[in-house]
Amino acid sequence: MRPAGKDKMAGRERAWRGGLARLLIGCAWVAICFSATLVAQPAETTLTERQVKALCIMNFARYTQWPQWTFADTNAAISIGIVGQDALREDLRRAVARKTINGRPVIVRSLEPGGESDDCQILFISASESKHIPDIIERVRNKPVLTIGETDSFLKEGGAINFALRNGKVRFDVNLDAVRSGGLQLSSKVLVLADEVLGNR
Amino acid sequence: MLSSFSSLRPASDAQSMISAFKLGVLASLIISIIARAQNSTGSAKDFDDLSLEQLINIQVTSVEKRETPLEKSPAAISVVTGDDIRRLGLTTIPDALRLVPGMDVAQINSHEWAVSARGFNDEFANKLLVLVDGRAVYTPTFGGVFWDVQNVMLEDLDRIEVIRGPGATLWGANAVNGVVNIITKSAKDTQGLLITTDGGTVDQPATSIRYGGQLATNLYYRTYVSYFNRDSFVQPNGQNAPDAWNQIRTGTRFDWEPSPDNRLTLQGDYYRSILHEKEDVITFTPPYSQTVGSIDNDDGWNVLGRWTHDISETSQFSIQTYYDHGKEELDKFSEIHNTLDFDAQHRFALGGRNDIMWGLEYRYSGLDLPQDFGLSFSPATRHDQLFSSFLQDDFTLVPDRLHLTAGTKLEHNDYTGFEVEPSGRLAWTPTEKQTAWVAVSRSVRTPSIFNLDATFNGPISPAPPSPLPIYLRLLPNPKLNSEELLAYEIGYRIQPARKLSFDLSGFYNIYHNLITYEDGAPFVEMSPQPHVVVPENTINGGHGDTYGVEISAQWQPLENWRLAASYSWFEQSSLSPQDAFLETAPEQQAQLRSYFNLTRSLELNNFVSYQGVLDTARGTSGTETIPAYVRLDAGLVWHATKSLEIGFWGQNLLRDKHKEFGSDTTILQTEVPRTFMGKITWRF
Repeated sequence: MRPAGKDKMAGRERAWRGGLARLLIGCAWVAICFSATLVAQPAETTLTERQVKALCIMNFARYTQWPQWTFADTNAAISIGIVGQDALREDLRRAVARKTINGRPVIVRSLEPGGESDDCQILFISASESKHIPDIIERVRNKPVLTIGETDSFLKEGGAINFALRNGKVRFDVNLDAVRSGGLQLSSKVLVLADEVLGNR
Repeated sequence: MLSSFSSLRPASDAQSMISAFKLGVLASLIISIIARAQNSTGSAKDFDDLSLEQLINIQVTSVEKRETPLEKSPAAISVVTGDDIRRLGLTTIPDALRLVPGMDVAQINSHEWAVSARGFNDEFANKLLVLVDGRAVYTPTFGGVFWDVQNVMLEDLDRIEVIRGPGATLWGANAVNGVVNIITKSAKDTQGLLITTDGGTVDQPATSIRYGGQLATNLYYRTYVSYFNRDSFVQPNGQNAPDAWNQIRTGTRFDWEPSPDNRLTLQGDYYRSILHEKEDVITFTPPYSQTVGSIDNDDGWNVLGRWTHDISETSQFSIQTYYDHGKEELDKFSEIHNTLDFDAQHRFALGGRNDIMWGLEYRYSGLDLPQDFGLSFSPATRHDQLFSSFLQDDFTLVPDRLHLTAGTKLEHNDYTGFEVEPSGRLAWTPTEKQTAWVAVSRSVRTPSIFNLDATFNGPISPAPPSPLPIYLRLLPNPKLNSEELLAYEIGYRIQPARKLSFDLSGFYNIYHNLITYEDGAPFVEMSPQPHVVVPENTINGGHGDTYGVEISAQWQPLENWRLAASYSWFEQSSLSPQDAFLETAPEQQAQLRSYFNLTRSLELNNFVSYQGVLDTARGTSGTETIPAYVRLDAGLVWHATKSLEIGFWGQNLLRDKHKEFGSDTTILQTEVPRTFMGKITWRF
């Protein structure tokens, strides 16, 4: 619509002034939105507890040595078994996708508490299976399986590495006797970062 | 905003371009905020390059553990754990609350307690909100808690979280001086068979049996039956008091986690209780007041369901509903309540700096109330509805260092209308081991139905000489306003060494419109028989300030020895003399707990508590000074085998008996005796 008649000038000027006001308001609005998105930037990277544990398990795998005969050949996959329904499985699957550890591909499998667990190289037992831990560990005793858990009594029950949440951070403790009984070797790079190392060095 | 767009008829091309531009900016802002909220934690893929050393130093966020760790919380918060209760042989919730600094706990008789925080203690202390697994156990009739029917099975108790100070934003009206959150363990953590029996000079005996099992993957349940029979306490003259009681309680709980993102709980309890009671009631023949014994039958049940769903790594909601039915008898009176509650809460991260929580609640409260000359309510039945909502933002000013939490609760109830309770808290964490915080909050206590609707006729004690009977009559006031509190709080926590920590908190509370009684002119009433009535009008006539400090410390000097100590100081000022009945907290309290593991299977647990002098009301018009006392408890717990635990305790060892509270009600007050108790717990 165009302003008509002798108010054409005043009308246009009014429209222009109205338009200027609106442009200024528009700029102010954009500025507010923009600064809001600045505020909305994540202040720092954050990971969930499960994601950190999944990445730690990858690192443990990297720094563990299994006996020569554990793998069929140099390209055989490292198998990580997860016992217990746990969302960690998804985080671990994402972490291992298209990755290799010491040249080997990695696969993640879910296991039933009562099922076969000795053809994995790493076994993660979720907290929901706390009642079955002694049985599961018994089944892989003296086998080259690195057992990892997240319950208070895991190491005492014969587990090798245990996660614990301390001061909002994911920490771990190591039971060297359990590591050695399977014929495994854990790099000192991992031991030095553990909060506590049990067993004979 | 959008409506202003539509009113912008595009008078020119420039204008239409600008409004389209604004619309586009708004849309992209909304999309980017949503996208950021969804993705504000990276996926594990992006962080593959992190070394082990870096991984163990990341502060993790996990929706389940999103609660601010206790050490950083900007509130005066204490936790009594199931272990504290087990070690000290505590058998009731009020006894467990004695362990919290700043809590005023006094036992009135064998089955009644006065429990409050930061003053205003009373049998029906009304400034404390108490919840059991999310269900409010506060009775709207009297504004307080019937502690005798809140006896959850203590072996299945996970912890009791106590926040001193207004918890208004999240918890709502009546969380004026504090919130007590009683949390039981999930069914997953109480599997197997547990049998416990105890007996002693008071418990004669008490037994609980619980069985927990698993119905399917991630579906756990437990069911329990609990019975106890408690003996009477002692009267000042040394005789047994008629306040014995017994109670049977049973319940079930299901916890189901159908997927990692969903958790459901369904639980219910039923209790039946028989209390022996003695009360002063009015009569129409001299001496016009009589002590009457009664046997009260209380029973009740509740059902609660809750669903918690993780929408994403940073967003979670929960929906809860419960129904609570109870009947309390007092001599001839009985009070029945039926409560239905719906509650929904949503918590989400917005950007990287905001942790927002909001919620809606609806509560229906139906009451059937006594109608008797001694106590009558008008109307005799009530159907009240409460609508409430809250919004809170925890804003990170400086990551890991400075957090500002601001929020408000908005409620509407059927008697005082709208209530607003805003609160602001600032938490500063200068180093990993220290936190300082300040808070300002406004909180309200809505009047109880007793204040609004009840006419109470009681004896005046001590009774003055008079030819006609004289009764005290408390008159209701349906137009009462809520009591108001403006609270200023400050606190500091420090952990100077790995095994040593201190927690200090201070407060200055300003109260307005406290509900008090104003003497009216006595008059003579002719029916049912001529008598004199001394009326008391209920008004919002009280104003005053309270202030105080609470200090607690924890120290583990040896691997097998833990100590906890606390001290609190409380002052009340500027309340008028007639409001003396409101002054019911001692000026000083202190306590020390020692948990010593003598050997791997033997524990020695001690508790010492000092309670200062207490001026309380006595009867309906007198005051009484309760002398200071020291309580000493000592217990030995022996873990005989992996499944058998035997304990023996002596409580209140220092005195034969002592008084803890006077009271302005007409209920019998007795003295707390020295007790001994033995307990056996089997776990299979």
